[in-house]
Amino acid sequence: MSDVNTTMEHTHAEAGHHAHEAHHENFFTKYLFTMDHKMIAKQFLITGIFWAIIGAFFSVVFRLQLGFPNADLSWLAPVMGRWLTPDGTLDPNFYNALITMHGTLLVFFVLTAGLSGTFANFLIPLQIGARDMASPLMNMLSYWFFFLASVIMFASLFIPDGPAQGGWTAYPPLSYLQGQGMTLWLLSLTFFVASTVLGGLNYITTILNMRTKGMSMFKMPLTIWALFFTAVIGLLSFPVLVAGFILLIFDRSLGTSFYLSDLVVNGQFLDKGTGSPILYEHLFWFLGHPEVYIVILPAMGIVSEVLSVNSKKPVFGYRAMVFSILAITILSFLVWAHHMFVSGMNPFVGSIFVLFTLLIAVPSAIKVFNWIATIWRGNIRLNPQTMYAIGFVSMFISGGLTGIFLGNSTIDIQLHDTYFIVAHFHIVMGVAAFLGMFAGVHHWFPKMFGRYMNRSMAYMHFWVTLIGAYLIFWPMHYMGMAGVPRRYYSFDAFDAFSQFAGMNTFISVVAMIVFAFQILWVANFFYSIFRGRKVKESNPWGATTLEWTTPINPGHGNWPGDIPEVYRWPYDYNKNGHEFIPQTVPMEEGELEHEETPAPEKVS
Amino acid sequence: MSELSLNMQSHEEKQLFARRFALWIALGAILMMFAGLTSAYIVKKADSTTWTNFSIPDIFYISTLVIILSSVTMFGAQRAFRKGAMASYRNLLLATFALGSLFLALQIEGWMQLKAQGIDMVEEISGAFFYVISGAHAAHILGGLLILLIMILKISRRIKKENTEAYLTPGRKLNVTLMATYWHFIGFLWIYIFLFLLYNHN
Repeated sequence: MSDVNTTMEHTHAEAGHHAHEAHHENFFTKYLFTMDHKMIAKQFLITGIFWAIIGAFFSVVFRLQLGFPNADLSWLAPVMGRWLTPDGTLDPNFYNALITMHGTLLVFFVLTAGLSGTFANFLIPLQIGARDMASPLMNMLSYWFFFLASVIMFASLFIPDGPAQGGWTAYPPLSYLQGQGMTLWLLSLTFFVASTVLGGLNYITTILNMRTKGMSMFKMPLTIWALFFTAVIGLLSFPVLVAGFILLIFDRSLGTSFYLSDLVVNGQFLDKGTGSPILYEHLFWFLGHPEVYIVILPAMGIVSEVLSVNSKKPVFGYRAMVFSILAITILSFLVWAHHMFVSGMNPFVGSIFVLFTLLIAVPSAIKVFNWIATIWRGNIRLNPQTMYAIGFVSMFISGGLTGIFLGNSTIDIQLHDTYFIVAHFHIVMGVAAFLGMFAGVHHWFPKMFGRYMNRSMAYMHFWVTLIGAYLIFWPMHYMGMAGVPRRYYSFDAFDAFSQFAGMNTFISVVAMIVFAFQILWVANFFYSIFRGRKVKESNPWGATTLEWTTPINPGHGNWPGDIPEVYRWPYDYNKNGHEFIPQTVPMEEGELEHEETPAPEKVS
Repeated sequence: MSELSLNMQSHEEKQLFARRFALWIALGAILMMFAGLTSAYIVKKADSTTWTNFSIPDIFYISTLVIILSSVTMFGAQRAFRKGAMASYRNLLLATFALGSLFLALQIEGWMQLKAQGIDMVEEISGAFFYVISGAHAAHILGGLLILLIMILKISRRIKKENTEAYLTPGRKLNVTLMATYWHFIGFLWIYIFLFLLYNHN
């Protein structure tokens, strides 16, 4: 370290240096090849929104097929083109492509890159008191790898074979039998992993090394803790996915058979030796399960912060929140095989995975209890972000409870690959993570763009999304219990499932309405960037954390002067007669920290 | 890293320290990928009925020796750099680069010999694992050679100028440390892979 200390003399003028930088920025360095973490966050957010619209549109198209089987979709011909059969119905192969792309885009491109990419980039330097990320260059590369992955994935929509059609899990041998679309899918996701790993490296390094004076780990807001563990999970699991992909790429392109055994396809015998598709499932789900926590943890962090700020109460059980995230992080690596109960695994091994899976209910329940206890008897401001955050808690409870059903191997064997599982994960990680993301965007929109989002539109969007999500996914539980399998193009051939035809139509109609209201939200988002009500005060929500001590529109470097020093934890709400006390306010004489118990009062 | 030193540093100093930290995390991520590959190997071997054990060609012992030697020259280069002996630093980097290239050549020769033995990627799953794992490692060596090349070019352009003291900024010192750390890491990685493969083929 001694060599590093010698730079001290010529780096002290950094504040002036950063203010100076603003002068020679042009369009390209400011908006495209920027190294400012705030702009990179916006790039992630807007790319994520782009993919969210496409992914959601795909779901509407396949819901059309499910709700109105074999309906004439020729009016969609300008968009769908050759993916409609001559009589106007949806091509079954394209149906498979739609569900594959819907899953891939939403899980990876929106809820991983769009969610943690946005908020990790935006919040980490601002909330820990740093001028930028540890490596702004790596941060820029992280976005451009994501962009490259996006371009490849987008291109795959237009190639003659069509995009990948093997489900978002890309299980072999199905993924082996796919055309060029799957090749591009694998290539795109490899770049995606590069982006996530570069980002994650940076997030962890920044949080551990770049905190401002006084910002000890246990003075960090819960958003930072959540984003920190998200990055840890990503760094430990995504490389294993790459290992799995390398073997799959070899199988597909170089004739090996790691995952393939002898196959008969269309009456044709393929001599593929003795590979094991189960091997891929292990490698995939070793990422795949932690991935759901990569999706949900940032939303959890955002919700903790939003609920505390807007109920003007300290987060209930701050340390319990941190340690429950840690517990979830550790357990997330010990449960992957619960996706594989039907793969013929030893029931004893299965029972161990059941145990660990059910154990996750404990930290999850702690978190839910703490959120409710946080807002309990608080002075709640029901602004949009609070509504979204409460909606998150509701969704997380509903989806979490069905997780306990599915975690039991005995029940899972019946429910595996049915609509029950579709309902479960859409509620607990899809809708919940989205509500967390909406809460975050509404909460930090003033900091991102210096304007507010329109509240009336937000309330409308919230209620339609919340009620709509329940109307879409609640009935699916019953379909799943009746055995309706997921991913089927049509149920025409199954008399037993005809009783659900009406329910399917209903779900599809609701899905279209909810989709329309998501477009409303996007419209609100872009309208508000340019025309929203301007922010007049630097701390509009009355929050304690550091990002609200920056100017309304912070430049590169975040604070024009010195970086503020931190004296207290981030949740001093309703303390000593103050509604909130920012982290930068020194402790008063004799003031007790939140964890200290007051001395017993003297009896007079 | 104590709380105190964290508080004392400026933004740039923190960034400098953070770069070393980031490299170590990145090495952890690389290690996870190889852990994934070798785990797949173990799982596949355990449930396979047609696993072929083949003897690893002797040339891989030589390549292992070469990569260890390249780590030694890299240590030498680090020492020379620290002493400010820029010419010997460059020469030792060149030696490391040559040894690294030799390692790659030996690996390719080893794969050829395996292929001549009839260990085919398509036919033998144990062979396929061998090729993939050692190949993925070779890709990391290639990346290391690229970094070495950049560092050699950088120092070669500088070496005629006398002012060594001014050249040795903390950032440049750190770059040498990072390069060396990565190089030692991929050497260590090969030793792990080699021992793993040896153990599993006897």
